[in-house]
Amino acid sequence: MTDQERHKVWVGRAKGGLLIAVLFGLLLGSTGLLWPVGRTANIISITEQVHAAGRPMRGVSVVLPQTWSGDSAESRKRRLFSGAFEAAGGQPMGLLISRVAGELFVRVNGVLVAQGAYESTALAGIGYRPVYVNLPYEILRERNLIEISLSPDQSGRSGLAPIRVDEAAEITRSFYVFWFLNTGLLIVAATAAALALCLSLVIWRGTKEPAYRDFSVASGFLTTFFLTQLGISDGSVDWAHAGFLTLDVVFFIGFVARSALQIVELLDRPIRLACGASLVFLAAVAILGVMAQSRALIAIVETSAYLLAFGSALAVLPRSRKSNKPTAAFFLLALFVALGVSLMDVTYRLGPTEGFAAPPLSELAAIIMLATIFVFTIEQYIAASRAIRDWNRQLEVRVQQTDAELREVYRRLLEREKHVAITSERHRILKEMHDGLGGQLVATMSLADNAQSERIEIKQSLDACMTELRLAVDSLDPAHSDLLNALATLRQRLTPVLNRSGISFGWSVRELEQRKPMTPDEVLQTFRILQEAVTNVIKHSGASRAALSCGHCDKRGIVWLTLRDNGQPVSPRVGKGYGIENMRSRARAIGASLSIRWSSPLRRGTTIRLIWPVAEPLGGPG
Amino acid sequence: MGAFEPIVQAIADPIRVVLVEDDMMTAQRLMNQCSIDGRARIVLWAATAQEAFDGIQKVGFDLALVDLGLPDQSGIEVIQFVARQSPSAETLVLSTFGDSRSVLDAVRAGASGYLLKGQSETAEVIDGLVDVARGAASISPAIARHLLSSFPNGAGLDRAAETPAEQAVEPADVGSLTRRERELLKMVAHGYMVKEIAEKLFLSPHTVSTHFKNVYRKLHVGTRGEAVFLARQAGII
Repeated sequence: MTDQERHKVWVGRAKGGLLIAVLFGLLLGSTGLLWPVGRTANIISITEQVHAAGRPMRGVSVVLPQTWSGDSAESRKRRLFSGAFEAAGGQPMGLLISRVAGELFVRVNGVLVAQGAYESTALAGIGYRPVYVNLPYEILRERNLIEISLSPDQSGRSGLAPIRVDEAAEITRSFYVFWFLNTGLLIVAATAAALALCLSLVIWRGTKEPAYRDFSVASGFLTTFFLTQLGISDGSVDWAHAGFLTLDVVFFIGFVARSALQIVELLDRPIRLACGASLVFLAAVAILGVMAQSRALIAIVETSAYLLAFGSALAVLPRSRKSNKPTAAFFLLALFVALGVSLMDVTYRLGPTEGFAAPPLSELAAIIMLATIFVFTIEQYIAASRAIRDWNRQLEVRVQQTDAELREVYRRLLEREKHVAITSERHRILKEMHDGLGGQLVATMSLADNAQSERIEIKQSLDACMTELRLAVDSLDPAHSDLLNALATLRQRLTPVLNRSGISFGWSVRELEQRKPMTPDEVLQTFRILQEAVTNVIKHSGASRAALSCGHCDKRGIVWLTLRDNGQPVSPRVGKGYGIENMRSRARAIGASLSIRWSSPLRRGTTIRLIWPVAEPLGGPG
Repeated sequence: MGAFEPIVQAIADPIRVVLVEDDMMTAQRLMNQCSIDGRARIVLWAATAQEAFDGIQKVGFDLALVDLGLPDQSGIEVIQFVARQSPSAETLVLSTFGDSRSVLDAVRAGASGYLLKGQSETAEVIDGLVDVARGAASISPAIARHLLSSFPNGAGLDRAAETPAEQAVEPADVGSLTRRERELLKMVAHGYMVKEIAEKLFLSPHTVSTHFKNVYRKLHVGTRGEAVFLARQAGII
């Protein structure tokens, strides 16, 4: 298989696979979006029912999938709930915390009171602290759930009694239902992500077209990113989450590596240096900020990163478009946005959580980054398709050219072969005319010149000429490449001659297993041998009967041919004169052997036998 | 064939022959032979194709003897002309070698066989003429072989002709050979004479040659439509 063919195959597979992956991802994304909403609605309605029944409602126990915090480390939980335990003296109140597409919603008795990306933000927003964990922590952990009840803050908002145990159990059950669904979704998402990964690797391996590689990297990244965000945003299996993150990192590194190469080519040295320097500088300040737990410092770094991202991307975009390397601009954008996003994450995870709102740009930046990568992916796909189409067109042209060349070569070859065949046949016929017919005609002419010649002699000589000529013509008939057919024609020619001399001509043949068609030369030599033999029968044997038989012997791998008469005894010595040497040499010339058993006083009749070896052993039962 | 039949026929009605031959010696010998034999009579001798075209329309005849190498046009044209003008008449090619190519061309044009030129026993020639005039056809092993290969294999017909009664029935499809025809052609191709074949298969020699005639007719039918079409195109008919 050539490179082009392999490429075609890979591209074909990749296209199909990509389509499936994208559709699958979209499907999963939509389910990921829908499920949490449904779940939330379910819980809210339960809460409201409880409230509307007018029962004393002192609080709602909330069961959430564990990863709602995005972090399952025990220390983190401890930190989250330690304050709650301390403040356990007050009255707990009904609270529902749910997460939809990564956003945390806090509701009090069904009314949304706060929302935020992180639990600390959301809880701080309503001034409540977690007070206790209803179920033993080990059990919750085993099931990847946390159940919290919250008590009012020092601000003294109160009035709601804790929920009854049976009501809490009911709510808990509904969460379990969701948990199972969520896990199922997670498994499907994992499959989709693995598919995307494989696909990208396949494309990567299968094609040397850079546009396709970029496309594969970007689409792989996009797919897993979406799946991570949508499919498992409420998921509770940590290893799966880690796996997805790893995939994202792999794709992102691939994307970055690819883009970095372009950007190095594209940017002027000063800009390149400036970008590098600002990245290093920002990273340094960020590290400093984290070390010093200074939120202000980190926020400054984050915001600068975004600004730099958009600024540089805008600056590079026109240039990169001109050089047909849009990756560069996207890369710059993505790089800085990535820095900003990671800083934001670091800030929330390591820094103090109280009283700090995330910079509003964070959310926007993430969306813009995704959008740019998306646009980039589409663009790359178009470029790739175009490249492939061009390539195919070129390929077709080349195939046509090669095809035409081959045809021409073949035609010439055929012509040459034909020419060689014609030339050799021409030589053969010339030689035949010279040796056979020419000699005979010369002899006839001298007969005619001689005044003593009898007319009958001249007539006989001319008859011989005619016979010679007919044999030559017969030997050229394609039908006579079949030995049996050639013999049949010879019989037809010879029978009248034999009959005129009062000799009957017997015929006993059977179908011959002939592997190779006879050449005109072989036919003619065979004709002449038999002609000579028949002439001998007529002139010398005095026989009343002659018979020709032929057949093949599978065991010995031969074809044989016998001419037998019932003539007078002939001394072999005399027999030598009957053109026997001539017949033998003709037989040798066509690769056959000739044997003669002379008629003797003990055994009447002369037998001439021609034997051809058959080139290939004859198959089949003999 | 019975030995007395030709004589009976000769007395009753000699075969009217049109001879198209440019070689005067050959023509002379044939005419002499005919007048000696009495079973055939040359009603027209044409030395060129044009003479043949003119004369054929004017005389009634049973058989045309046509040489292929005429000075003005090919003998094939004359054979086609005869086939169109006098469909009831038979045609024979006068051939020096009886080689299958020229004979097959003639058969395609409508001939019923060939007559070898220069056969010393011209009585045999008249025998041949009489046979052909009576609906037989001459054949050689090479021609049989070519015929076998030029028709599609009639494997499907084998089943239809399994019983003797059915063997006599001609298939409607003229494009293929019957089982019997195939068998006969094969025997000729393997060197058996018409007489031997007839003895082997308990048929009369005449019946055997009639089979060959039928095969020739099929070959001719395959090309006749085309010939008529071409003639119409050329404005001849």
